[in-house]
Amino acid sequence: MHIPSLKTLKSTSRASYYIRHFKSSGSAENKGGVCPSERGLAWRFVFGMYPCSSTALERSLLHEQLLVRYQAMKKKWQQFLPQAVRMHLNGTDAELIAAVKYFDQREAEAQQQTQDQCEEVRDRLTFLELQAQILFERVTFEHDELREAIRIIDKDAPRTNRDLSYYQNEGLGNLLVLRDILITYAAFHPEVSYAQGMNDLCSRFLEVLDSEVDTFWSFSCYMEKFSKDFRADGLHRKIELEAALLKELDPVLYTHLVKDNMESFTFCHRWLLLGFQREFAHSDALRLFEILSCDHLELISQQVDRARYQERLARTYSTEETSESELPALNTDFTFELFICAAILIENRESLLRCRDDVQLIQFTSSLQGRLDLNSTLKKAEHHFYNYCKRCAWDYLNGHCRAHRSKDEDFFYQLRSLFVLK
Amino acid sequence: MAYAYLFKYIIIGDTGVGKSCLLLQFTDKRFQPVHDLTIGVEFGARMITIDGKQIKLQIWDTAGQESFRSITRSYYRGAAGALLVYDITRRDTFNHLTTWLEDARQHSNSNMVIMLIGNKSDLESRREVKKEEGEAFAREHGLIFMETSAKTASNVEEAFINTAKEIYEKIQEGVFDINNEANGIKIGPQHPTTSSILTSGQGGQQAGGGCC
Repeated sequence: MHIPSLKTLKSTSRASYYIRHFKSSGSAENKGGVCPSERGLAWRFVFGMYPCSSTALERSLLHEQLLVRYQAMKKKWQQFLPQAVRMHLNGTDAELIAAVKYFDQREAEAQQQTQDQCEEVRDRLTFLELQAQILFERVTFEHDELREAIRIIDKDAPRTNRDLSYYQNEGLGNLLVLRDILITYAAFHPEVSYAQGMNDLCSRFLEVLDSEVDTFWSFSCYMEKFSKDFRADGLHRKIELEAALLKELDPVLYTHLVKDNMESFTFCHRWLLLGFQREFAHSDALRLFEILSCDHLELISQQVDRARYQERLARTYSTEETSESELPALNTDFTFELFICAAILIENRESLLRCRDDVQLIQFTSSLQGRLDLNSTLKKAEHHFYNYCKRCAWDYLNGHCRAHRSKDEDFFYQLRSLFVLK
Repeated sequence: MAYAYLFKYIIIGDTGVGKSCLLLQFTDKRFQPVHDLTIGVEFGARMITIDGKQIKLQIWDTAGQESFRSITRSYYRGAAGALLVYDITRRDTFNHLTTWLEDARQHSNSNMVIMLIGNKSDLESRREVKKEEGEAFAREHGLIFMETSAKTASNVEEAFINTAKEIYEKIQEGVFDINNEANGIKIGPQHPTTSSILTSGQGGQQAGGGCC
């Protein structure tokens, strides 16, 4: 009889193993995240743009390849829709007009730099360009769909977090960089295309990495795993899971929230879509995103998977006593992000219990904007997470014990190990 | 603040047509050239006076994004009025009206009053949709129509208030069952029976955040 030990649940995945090599951010108060000055480097590994096993030499070659590929991709849609190369402006937004000016200046400088490259580099790049052209030769675009995506991106990109210092003054040009990244992504991922919220997400990468090419690839890597969040069904599923988790953690609050006038948890929509971007201070929202992306405290991290696999193996070899080799009923779909959300709900349970309809619920969620504290929320979410794991283990042991009365000793042994580990 | 009735409104239409700006102009009397992207739904409320009665408008401002329409749809329920907005400088936003209208009719109660709004009327030089086209569309689908500018505030008051007048008339005619909250109308806590409040017109008053 084996249960996944809490130690394995606490352990970290591969990505966060690497992130541990970076300086952790500041004081002991801070729970997780890397020091902001090292964030750019860390993210290039965490999100998979660079393989963790790569050498510095390999990375510089890889970067050249990624650069050329991205440029080839961008050129491809620009040739397909030449009228979309420049953003549609209606002349009412003076800042946006300035943004275009800064962007054009930057493009011109970049072009100058390319011309100044030495012959050897130019030869190598020409070869890579040829390779990239062949690679994307067969890619075709749906005219109407791409145009529609560009239309929305042109509306959204300028509305992305313009208050951030990254987009101030000459940084305004970055809004157009963001636009190009989003269009390139939409063009080459027609099944995902563009949905609102992606601009906020992509903007995080751009701000931290401060590179168009690196942002594109890191964002693409991230989207490989999470693009479903930007489809209505994916988000619905997430909202349903949040409800299911709250039912486990606080059945009273859950029952209240699913009453007549508030049958859905749609009020959590923005939280779960934007990763609490508007609820925490900006720097904290970035840190949270980083922590969540490291699979910190995920029930599906590689270590947990491995532990579970070994337990299954051990069971097969040991006794073959029964076929009921069920592991504790942990729902591995409960991501740590959902625990964060639950922690916020439970923290505010008194206010939520006073809400009588969905109007009040939405007013309540709006009232939290920019008012949450990350460290205390993380602490509470962690607490709920471990309690959930413990409870699942308890239930499992209880059930097992009842089924095998004779093995009392075993039960107490397991119980002790459970508490020793915690 | 006591009110005789509360009307629930929703604002719908393509992304970037100025839905949130219209709301902000109506509730706060100000214009914000770059408004944050609306994700999900946001709120606004204001008190108006019609026929000597205090009426609270509770306005739900929805995201224009196509991919999450299934989620925003749940907000149509129980709305007494809808502002369907397009941008007169972008024809595509006008072309999408039919889909929005179908969506609204399908997911709301059949008596919902719909006001068609051609926004950004201050940008005359960039106009792509003629006023007559808006009028024709409204006539064809039985909507009230108005061109507005959230920037200059032109017609913004009128748009919200005329919709409320229409709803109010329907109540007087007995079309709306005011006891059924699914119609988007609530009777206020203290129903003023006397016509002591004679301030006609738009006694505009901001009533943010508060409870309803």
